[in-house]
Amino acid sequence: MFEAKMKESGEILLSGRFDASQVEQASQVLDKINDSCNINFAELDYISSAGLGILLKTQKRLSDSGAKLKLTNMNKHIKDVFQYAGFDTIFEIE
Amino acid sequence: MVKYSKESASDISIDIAKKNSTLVVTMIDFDVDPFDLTKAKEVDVKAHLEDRKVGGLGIHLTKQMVDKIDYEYKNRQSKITFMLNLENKNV
Repeated sequence: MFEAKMKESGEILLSGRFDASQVEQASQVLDKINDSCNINFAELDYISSAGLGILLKTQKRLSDSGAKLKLTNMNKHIKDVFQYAGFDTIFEIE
Repeated sequence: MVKYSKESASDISIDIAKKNSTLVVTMIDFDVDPFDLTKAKEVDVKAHLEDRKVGGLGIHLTKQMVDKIDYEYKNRQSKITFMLNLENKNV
């Protein structure tokens, strides 16, 4: 089960398991981001390489206008995945 | 296998076993063309954002997380074996 929800504050909350089958759903939310934005991972249990790909695509698109994503509240496993992928140097992670 | 071997309608065989302190996961895809993931091009994870390409991370992450990967191809069967030493690992 996965959900990507944009809150009133503009923060995006991810929950559940972000795998290849959820890419389309996630894209519908992430493609609407046009400015710097926080993505809260507090309720996300798992992310696959497909999920990482969507985040990278979003970050690259935003960087064209000087904007960026800030990723918050990752669990240890997801933080490790980001390190393995070298994403800890191309995303701001809190 | 599920995403990239669409030409095959066969089920994929997955076997998970523990041999001494090693977790061995074997996946077999039937009636497919070969793809040796052990020879896949490496992703440059140190590249700057503007040079990073989308894609290729699945194989990279797998290589980071397991201790050994074997690939065999015979009679249109593609067999991938992952091995992970469970000692001192929080799995």
